[in-house]
Parts: sequence; structure tokens; C-alpha cells
Amino acid sequence: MTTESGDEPLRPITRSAATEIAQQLKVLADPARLQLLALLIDHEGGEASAGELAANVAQSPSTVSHHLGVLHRARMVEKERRGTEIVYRPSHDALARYARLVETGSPGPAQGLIRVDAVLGRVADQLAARFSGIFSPETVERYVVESYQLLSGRARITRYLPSLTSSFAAERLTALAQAQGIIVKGVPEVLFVCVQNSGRSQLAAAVLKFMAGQRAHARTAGSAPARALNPELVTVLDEIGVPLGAEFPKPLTDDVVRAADYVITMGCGDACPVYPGRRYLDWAIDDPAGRPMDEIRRIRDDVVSRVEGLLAEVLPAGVSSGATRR
Amino acid sequence: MGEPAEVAARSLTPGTSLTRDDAERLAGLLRVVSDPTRLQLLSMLLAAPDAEANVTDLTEPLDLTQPTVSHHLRLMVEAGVLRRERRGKQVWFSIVPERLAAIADILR
Repeated sequence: MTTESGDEPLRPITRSAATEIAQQLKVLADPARLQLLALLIDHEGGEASAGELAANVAQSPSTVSHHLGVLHRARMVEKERRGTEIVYRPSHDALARYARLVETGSPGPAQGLIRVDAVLGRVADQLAARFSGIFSPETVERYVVESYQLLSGRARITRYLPSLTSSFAAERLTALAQAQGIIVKGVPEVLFVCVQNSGRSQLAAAVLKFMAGQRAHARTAGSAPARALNPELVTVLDEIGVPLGAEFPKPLTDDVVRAADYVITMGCGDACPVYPGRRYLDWAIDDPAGRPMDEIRRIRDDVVSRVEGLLAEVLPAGVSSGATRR
Repeated sequence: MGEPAEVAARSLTPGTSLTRDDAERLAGLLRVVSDPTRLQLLSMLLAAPDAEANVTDLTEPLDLTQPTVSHHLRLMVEAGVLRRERRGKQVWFSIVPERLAAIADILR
């Protein structure tokens, strides 16, 4: 298995991956949608409401909302309710695959680097408010900076990392608070770790979240994270009615291991630190990267049956798993 | 919606983003490449030695005839995505250098 990060893929993409990407490109092949995505990517706060965007593209807010809905369904923007308004931001996939495409070339990489400090400062302020009473602003800032460095070490497009840094740092701070007993874990915490965090671990976490609902929580990480998710994941999960959510490949950190009750490793060898009091399982599941669709479906089905077995063990007796399937 | 224009003035940076003309051009280009076979061809070119290949090389891994592959290649040349160069009896195809980085990102 080649997991060299920092190199362009030397192996041509499969037909099924090409089909997935073609579908996304068809959605993007529309001037209004391209302009909206470009505005979101260039937006210094990393997110905007339909009203803000409408003012910049000379279109009505309802037309803009429609296009944002189409982009959302194609997994290129994420949306979140903030008080009375809905804000949109580019998805990880959109940043990884299309940021360079919609760039006009005027803001060079140097300008991007200058902006990063200011944006990270804002991210730290937002998270400090969210974690106030749990962590000091200094701890939050240290986590934000470290999370940024962990992500940027593997990404070439550092300019677009702040929004990912925010969700990665928030997840790690929550895990840290759980591990230290400051936040009580209401439900069993399962951590799935594979090599690239773009296939197996994401499949397993999506299936677990779908089957367990609120009764268990899943996190994912990779020992050598890829730059983008495996494009076929959406399809094979969609076929069984499981949403993928706003996921992106991220590195393995100590805090998420410490917060876990169950650690499931898949092909990442001994990259995962071992702590007492956690149950460690190693699943021999093939890497779906570069495989034909039928094999990816077989891998998916393997993951589904293993997660069913895991939930039977993880969830308290009497709460049966599998009942929520489909 | 409040006062969208004012909100926009505060937080968006107009001018750095795609103009309508740029967006129309780019949309036209995306319509050409948003086809699985063409994406596979682009991906094969990226992975090829010296990032170039001839029709014979490009046809072999695909379950298609050479005229079909030639047709896809011609459309991408016309759209300014590919460059064709005749050397001796062979015609070599490669991705236009200015498009290389963006196309490599798409095919991750």
C-alpha cells in the first residue's frame, strides 16, 4: 500500500471514482454556483449567509438559497443554523478538490499566510467562549495552533485550513475534557483508526452513528491521513441509506485515544498508543482505495456486520442493535 | 435579511472572487471535463511518464475503441484542457500546464 503523502497520485483513478467526481463537476458547471463557491472559499471568516452572498452575485436571496441547496446536496458546502440565520461554508472536499480551480489567481499564497494568524485568533476566541469554564483561553489557543500545525503538515493549501482547524480543535478539546472527566461521557465512545482516515475508519464511524443514533459516539483518525475522502464512500453509504456527514481525514492524536472506551484499528499497525482501561480491537479489513465498486461494497458489508457485532457488545443489554438498520 | 449590502461590505472581499465572465468560462470547461471517461483520461495523463501519452497508450486500459478515445481527447483539446503535439508519426497529448495543478486537485 502506498500512502506517501505530499505526492500526487501516481495511479490513475478507477471508473467508479471518476463517475463520482464527474457528478460533482456537473453540479459545479454552472456560473452562479461557481461564483458562490468562490465567494465562500475567499471569504475571510470562512462562512456566510445566503443574504450576504446574494449581495455579491447580483441574484435574489431565494435563487442563492436554491444554488446553495444544490451545492449542499453535492457535499460541496456545509450549513449550520446560527441563531436565526443559516450560515454556509465550503466543505473539506470542496476545499481540497476545487479551491484551486475557482481561484482567480489574484490572492497569492503569501497573502494567504498573512491572513492565517488573524483567522486562527478568531477561531481561538470562538472556541474559548464555547469551552469557557472548562479550559482556559491559553489551553484553547494552544490546541488551536497545534491542531492547525497537525493539519497543515499534510496539506498544501494552508490558506483554507482555518475552518477545518476549528472543527478538529473543538473535537480534540471535547475529547480532552472527557478524558479528564470534566465533561461526563453519557454514552460509549468508539474510536476508529485506519491509515488514511479516508475510507475504512470513515465507513465504520458513519455506520455506527447511523445504527446507534444517540446511544454511542464515534470518532475517527488516521496514522497517515489522506488529503481528501475516498469519493466512492458517499455512493456505497448512500446505497444503504447511511449519511457520511461533514467528515475529513485527520491525524491521530493522544486526546481522542484517551477519551475512547473502544479503539478499533484497521491496518495502521502499532501507530495507536495503548492505554489501560480501553478495549482494543484490530479489524482485518481491506483498504477500499483504488478498488472496483463491487469490492468496495463487499468491504462496506464487512464493516456493517462488524459494527453490528461491536454494538451488541458496546450498548447496554436490552438495547438491541441492528433494529435501526435501514 | 436585514441589510445585505452592508453586511457584505463588512465581511466579503469583492474583487478577489470569480467574475461572472470567469465563472462562465470555467463552467464551460467543467461541462467538458465532467465526464467519467474524460476524467479517467486526465488521470492517466497525470500518472503517465513525463505526463504525456499517445492515443494507443490511452486506449489500452479503457474498454473503448480508439476513435472514441480520440473523440474525447479532441473535445478536451478544443476546450483548452489538453495540448496535442505531433512528433514524427505519433501525436502526444498532455494537460495544458496552467491547468495542471487544478486538475490534479480534482483527481485526488
